[in-house]
Amino acid sequence: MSNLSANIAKLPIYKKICLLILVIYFAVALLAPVLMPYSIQDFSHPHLAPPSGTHWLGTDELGHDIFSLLINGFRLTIFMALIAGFLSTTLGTVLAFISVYFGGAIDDILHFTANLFLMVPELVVIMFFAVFAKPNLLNTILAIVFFSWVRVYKIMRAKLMDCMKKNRVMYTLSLKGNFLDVAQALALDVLPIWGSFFVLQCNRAVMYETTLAFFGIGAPLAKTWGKLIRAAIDYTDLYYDNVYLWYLLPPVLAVLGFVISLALLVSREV
Amino acid sequence: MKHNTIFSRALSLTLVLAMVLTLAACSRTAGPRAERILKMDFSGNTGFPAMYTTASNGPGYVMMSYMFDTLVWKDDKGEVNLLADSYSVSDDQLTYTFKLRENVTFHDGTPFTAEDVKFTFDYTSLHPYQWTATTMVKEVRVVDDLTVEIELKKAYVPFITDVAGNLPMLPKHIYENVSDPTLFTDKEALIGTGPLMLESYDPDTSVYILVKNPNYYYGEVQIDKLVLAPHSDSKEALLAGEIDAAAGMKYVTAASLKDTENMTFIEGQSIQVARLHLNFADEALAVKEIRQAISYAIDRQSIVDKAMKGSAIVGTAGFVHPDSPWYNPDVAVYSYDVDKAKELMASVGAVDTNGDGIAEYKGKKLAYEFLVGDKDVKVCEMIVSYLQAIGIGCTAKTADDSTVKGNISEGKFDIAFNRHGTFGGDPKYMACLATDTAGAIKVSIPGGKRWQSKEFDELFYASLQEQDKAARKELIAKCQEIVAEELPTLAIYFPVNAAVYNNTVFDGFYFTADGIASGIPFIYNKLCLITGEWKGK
Repeated sequence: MSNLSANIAKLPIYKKICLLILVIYFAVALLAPVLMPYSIQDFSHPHLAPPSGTHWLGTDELGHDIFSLLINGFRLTIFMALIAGFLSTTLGTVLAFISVYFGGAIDDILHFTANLFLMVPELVVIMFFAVFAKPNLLNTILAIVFFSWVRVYKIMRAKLMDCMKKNRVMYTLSLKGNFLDVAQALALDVLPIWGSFFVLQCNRAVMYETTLAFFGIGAPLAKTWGKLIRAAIDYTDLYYDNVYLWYLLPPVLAVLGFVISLALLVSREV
Repeated sequence: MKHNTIFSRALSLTLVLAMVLTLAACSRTAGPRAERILKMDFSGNTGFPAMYTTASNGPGYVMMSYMFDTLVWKDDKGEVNLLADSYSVSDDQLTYTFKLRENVTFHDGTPFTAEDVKFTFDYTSLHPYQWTATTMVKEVRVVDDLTVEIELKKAYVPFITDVAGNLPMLPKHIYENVSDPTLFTDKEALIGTGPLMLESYDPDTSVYILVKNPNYYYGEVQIDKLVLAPHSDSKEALLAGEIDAAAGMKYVTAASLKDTENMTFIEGQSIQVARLHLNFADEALAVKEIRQAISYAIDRQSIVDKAMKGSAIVGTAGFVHPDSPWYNPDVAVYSYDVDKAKELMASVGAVDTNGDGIAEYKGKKLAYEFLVGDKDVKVCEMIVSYLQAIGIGCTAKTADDSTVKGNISEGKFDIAFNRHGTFGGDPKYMACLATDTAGAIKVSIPGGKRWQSKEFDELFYASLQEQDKAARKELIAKCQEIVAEELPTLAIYFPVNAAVYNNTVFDGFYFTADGIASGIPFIYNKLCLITGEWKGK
């Protein structure tokens, strides 16, 4: 624990701020049920009410409390980002390791496949997949995972190739260590990059989900930030009477805050 | 969006510039009166505006109708004779005799005669016309140049509104040589008797420019030129003077211009229906009590107030619009009542036995996919939540409107929500609930396993042949009773239409009684251009 706090203390000030923001995000996500003044399924409020004491960010066209939707978005979006980020990073790393450990034809096939995936813009493929799958959050996550492991794979493969030459690994190999032994030996070298990738992939997942939601793809009734933004933009009189200030801006800021904080946290010193 | 606006502005600017130039050119040559150019917004590209090539939707038909006339037509008050001077029906309802108007010519100067009427009916029997069927016609006989007799195979009471009021009359001397009219897009293909003629059509920008037919028989056309083009923001374009009339605005947007200077807001009759389709291949949805429960569970008034912002009329159970003269006010009413809905569900054994919030019927969960257009997500969200309250679980699936329509007509849905027009005038649209659906438009007929009732079929088919209006009304009233009891489909609401126009340019637009032709809720009736008044400089 003291080790962790010492590490945090060493961080430059902007990273500390990012970390603080992220901690707040996670806290909000965890405490969402307590923080939400109303259920997100409750649309019995007067519709399109401006912000007031009872509805801090007003209500939307159906009469949902926008503040509750926003808080719920923390939960949905962060939950989705963590799962998608974890799965895509793990998938990329495992495939990279298989590639490096077995080498030969297996490596060739995997590497070729990865290159194929790289040639097509990820978002296009994800959209294609998401349109045809059953529209629920799980499939959106799977679509993101399945098509975004490539970047992780490419860099991990290069890194692992380097590490394989290290003495410790050579030693394990010479002792006829099996797949798992080698993995163990490599784990120490790979973990820090794995962490950075995890964060980056979470970041990506949020952006993909938001974009998909914006195009109207994915679970139509899941109230993620992307869906909130989409609903706000669909509202015809958004720019009259400053409605955008409490309808559009909050979810946009929430997405930006999350994405920027994550990105800065793992960025190299400038 | 932004780009779009800039693009459309640039486009309109070019158009205006072009017009100013033509205007300047004309004023030098054509004397003192400036050219009268009316600009209206339009829904987009509806194809080459000939009878067989125009889009098979409302806007496509209206565009075509500027160039082609039908025997009878409608204005704001109701039926008017257009190419027909008068008509009579034989006592057995089998023979219609039309006296044609004198001195009617096609755009190329050829006189319009009874031969053209006969030709049009014969031609449509060889090349079926997508908009209206003429299969009930047995024979068309030319009596003299201006008299024509149409004999039907069996009585078809809606013949005047459904066929004579929809079928455009083709020039025999041009179309007799055309073997495939769907590929015929020469300039000649547009020669009709209508008040306007096409000057140019640009398929890339969807801009249509029409000019006045100087010899129009029905009256002097009050404008010289009509420009129809899509605008991304009709309200903005109208206020900026880029267009003079806007029919494509949402009701709420149109209503926001009510008190604007120089703008006239008109509200139209509601002749569309937004309804739930239920797939009868599902064992539970085929149970009458479950459908009734669904009907009780939906708070239609809230949907109208919130999702439609008040721009609709609450749906009725009998599938006839409450403003229609054919409406039966005594049919079953399903006012929002969750307890009643749950009772009905329980009465057929559809109850939640395992506590997951979703009821089971004969061991199968009542969990469905709810298919809805991506513009109707709000309505969908409300209905999903209402159904959840009585133990019917729905997963929403959205798609664009044409995909939804396609899936419905192929029967690829559990529960679907969609809207369509042609819901005014003669109740022949109820054919979409009968076994033989002839007479109903395609989008109103779901595919797959449908509701069927012998009793309804008999009453409905009898109504198509009943000559006495009161007796026919009685039959239609009984049809509604059956529909309200059985609920083959659930009308959620009837959208109301509205339009706005600039009264300092042109005044006299109106919504047509029961909609243009078979029910198009548009203010762009061609007769407005004759009876209206030019107010511009």
